[in-house]
Amino acid sequence: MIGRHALVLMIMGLLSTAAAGREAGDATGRRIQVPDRVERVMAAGPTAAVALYVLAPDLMVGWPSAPRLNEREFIRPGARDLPELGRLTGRGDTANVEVVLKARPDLIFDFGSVTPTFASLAARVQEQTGIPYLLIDGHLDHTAASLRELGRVLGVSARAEAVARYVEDTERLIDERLKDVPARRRVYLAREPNGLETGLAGSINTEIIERAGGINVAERGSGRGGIANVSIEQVLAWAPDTIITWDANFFASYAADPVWGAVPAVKAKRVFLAPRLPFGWIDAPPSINRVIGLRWIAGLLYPEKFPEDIRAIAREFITLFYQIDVSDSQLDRILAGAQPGGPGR
Amino acid sequence: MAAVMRLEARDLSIGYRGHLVGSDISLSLGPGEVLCLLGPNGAGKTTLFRTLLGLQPALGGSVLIDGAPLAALRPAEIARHLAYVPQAHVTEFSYSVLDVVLMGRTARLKPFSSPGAADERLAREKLAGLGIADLAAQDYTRVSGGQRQLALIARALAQEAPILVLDEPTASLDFGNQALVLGRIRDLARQGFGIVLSTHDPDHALLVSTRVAIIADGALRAIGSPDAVVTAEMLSAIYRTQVLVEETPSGRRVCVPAWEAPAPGG
Amino acid sequence: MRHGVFVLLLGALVAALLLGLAVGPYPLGFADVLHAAARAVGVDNGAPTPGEIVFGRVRLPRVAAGMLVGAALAGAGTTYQTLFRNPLVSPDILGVATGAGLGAVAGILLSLPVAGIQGLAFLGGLATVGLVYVIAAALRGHDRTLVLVLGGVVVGALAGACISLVKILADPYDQLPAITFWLLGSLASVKLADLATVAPLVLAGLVPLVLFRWRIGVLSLGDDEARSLGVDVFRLRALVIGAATLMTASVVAVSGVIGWVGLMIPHIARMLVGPNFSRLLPASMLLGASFMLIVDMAARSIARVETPLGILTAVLGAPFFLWLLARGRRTWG
Repeated sequence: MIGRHALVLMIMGLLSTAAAGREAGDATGRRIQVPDRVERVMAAGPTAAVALYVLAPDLMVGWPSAPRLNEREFIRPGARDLPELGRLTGRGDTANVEVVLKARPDLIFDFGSVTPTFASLAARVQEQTGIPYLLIDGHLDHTAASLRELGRVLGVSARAEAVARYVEDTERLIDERLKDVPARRRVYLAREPNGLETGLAGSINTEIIERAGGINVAERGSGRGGIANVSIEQVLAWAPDTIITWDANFFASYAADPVWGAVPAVKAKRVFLAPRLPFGWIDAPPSINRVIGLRWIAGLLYPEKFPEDIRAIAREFITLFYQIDVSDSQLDRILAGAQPGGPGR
Repeated sequence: MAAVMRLEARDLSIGYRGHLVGSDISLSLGPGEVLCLLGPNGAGKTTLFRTLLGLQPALGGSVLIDGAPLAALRPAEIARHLAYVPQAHVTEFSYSVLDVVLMGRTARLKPFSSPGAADERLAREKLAGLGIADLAAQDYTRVSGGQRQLALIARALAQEAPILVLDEPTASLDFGNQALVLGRIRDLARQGFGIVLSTHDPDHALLVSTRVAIIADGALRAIGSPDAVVTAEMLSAIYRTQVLVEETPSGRRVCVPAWEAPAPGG
Repeated sequence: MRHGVFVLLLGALVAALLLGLAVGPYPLGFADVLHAAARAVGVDNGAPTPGEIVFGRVRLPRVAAGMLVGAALAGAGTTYQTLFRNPLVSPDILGVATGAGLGAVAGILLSLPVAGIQGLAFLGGLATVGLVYVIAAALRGHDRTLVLVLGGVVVGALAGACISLVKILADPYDQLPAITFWLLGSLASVKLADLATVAPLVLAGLVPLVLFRWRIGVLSLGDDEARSLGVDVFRLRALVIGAATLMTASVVAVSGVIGWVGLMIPHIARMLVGPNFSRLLPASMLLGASFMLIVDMAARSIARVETPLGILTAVLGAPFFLWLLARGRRTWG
């Protein structure tokens, strides 16, 4: 005769199995219960937000930080006005847990570094809110695999497959054509209005440049990769033949400075303004938005190898990833300063 | 020496904004006179001092230097007439004794000038006049209390002002140094300086002053010659303890508490 | 002996200057220096070589800025220590550096060009001290010096809180690293144009300090005594605070916040020449200039990338202060 206690436990067990859905593993190795049907998803940070917006904009409950005014026109109407929820990524945490709970997501995920710190943060938030929190590996090399995994979890596998394939095709194309490039270009990434902040070789801020076949002149030397400040002397000593920046102030002012004029890149008129719409092409955030940056930079550095018109490629990318159509004038604005001989340089 | 000068207070009310400390205070001082302000602690001596020096404004009445109101004079002008000798203290920084005395020359310097050779000579003279010429190069913060007090007097003399205002110049000095400083004050009076000093020791008032003003409870209780003012009744009243004023065999007067004399051999 | 120390200090400065001109990531040769010198006197050798450009427009301005910044901070520190009769006082006591920091990070947040950031920094520094002064003036009847110091602490803390707020609002990818770096101080991006703006301002601040050097020293005796010695304390203090603030705000606008220099250097100078302000001010400034030259040399040579100056000065400053405390002097200098 089954006691009353045991009966209750059995029924609870049956019920919970039915509601649990499936198990998903994330990059930290945790096994997490996620609902069968995921309808409301929260991105923990800007990198995840881009991945989510690309794969499944209809599942978004909000943005970690709302799109800026000049970005809004390039974002789908449905997603444009979603509320700002703050960041949960531990780098300048601004999300209030109560706000998270109010948004009632079925799932939270982050897309980026998978260090023990972030893993423990994820576990903590999950414990506090009861909402499954997944960490997906956001490393550049892992992009296609991560996209497919995310697509499975979110229930948009077909779309994820299309996007992942595009990423793989792009990388393959670049690797192939770079094989017999005679000399690698030496590139300096100029950040901030004075152009003297840069990303060190191997850092997430410049890995797109390096993946596209450029050599980052800012060697790592000792210490970790990342952002660093240098003097103009050091830039001259490095003598890059190409400069890329996304700071409009620097782009507007460097030509008037005779010291920058001594840099080979400036002399050869090879200074380019990286597009930032709707998301940065090289960084800001360092997520799948950078894939177009790969093609763009490869075309800048080795135009003989990548002769295709960047406008067509950009349009294709934007349509596939961001699911909107852009007009010619919009493309002009996006690409201002980004092409050799184009407006700006 | 600078011109002869009278310092006068007329119907002075002293205190801080919203807080009257004393009123109806009138006194005057001329060359060669030593005016002693005598009274218990907290009676308003310090406030009166600061008002006389122009360090804080009078709440009523006026302070006059040779008839000219103090309030209309700029600090440099005041400094040429009145010199302040505060209680000897330790400064934050280790100035030399000569440096300290040289600061007294400030009022005599043009706005952008620093003391020159002539100023240094004068400063050394003043030190010599007080018998501490050999201390010139020493660290002011490391000499004795009495020597510091003398250095501050030398500084006041370096101002070449005819009136000296000394705030409790013998406080925290040992007996020997007290006698030394009081002696110098007497000498300065003989040289023609006008001197105001405050003290809470009636014996000192009797030793050096030509006139005594009793300040108690914010009021000027009495002003006049030491013999007339420093009496047993007055002292007992203001210090709230029985005091006797007796004459010594050498003709001086001293003040002692009125206790029973100890029994002989007891 | 009196003049011997100054000769030594001057010699040290010249040595540091020569060293500073010689050390840097870009390999310079004598030819570059000669060409630059020739060009300066009007000889035209054709287009300038990169080396010439580095020497004339990068190395030289940076070294000159280093001297200016070091001298200004040390001079301001000396002045404030004398004014507030406290050898533990830094030029930031009234909040000028924190206020300048707030102005600058606000400029970075608003994505202003460099000139805008510097301008806001300068204004921020002046406005902060102005605010402190207004507060002190409003609170009459209290010990003036104490009110100034407390006002500086409070307003400085407020400005610091606002800086933290700006950091939260800033874009973590784009602006936050720049803000962090600015707040730690660097001379890496100094141009000739910066020098041309800052040098006259520092000079303007220096003039009253030099003219009134004797009376400023007298101020160190305290308000009452200084007044009784003939110094117009209220006016002089206002002028001196204004001058020292001008000096500090203008260099901080260009170099960012560099701590410890204004605190340490006057101390060392006092140990060398004594507390007399007339001697202390020039000694401090000479020493400060040399110190900054050495520190900036290290900043651009330790690694390929720039080390913030504030870190280096703190690494040197903190142990120095521990040593001072351990010596346990009864009075200072």
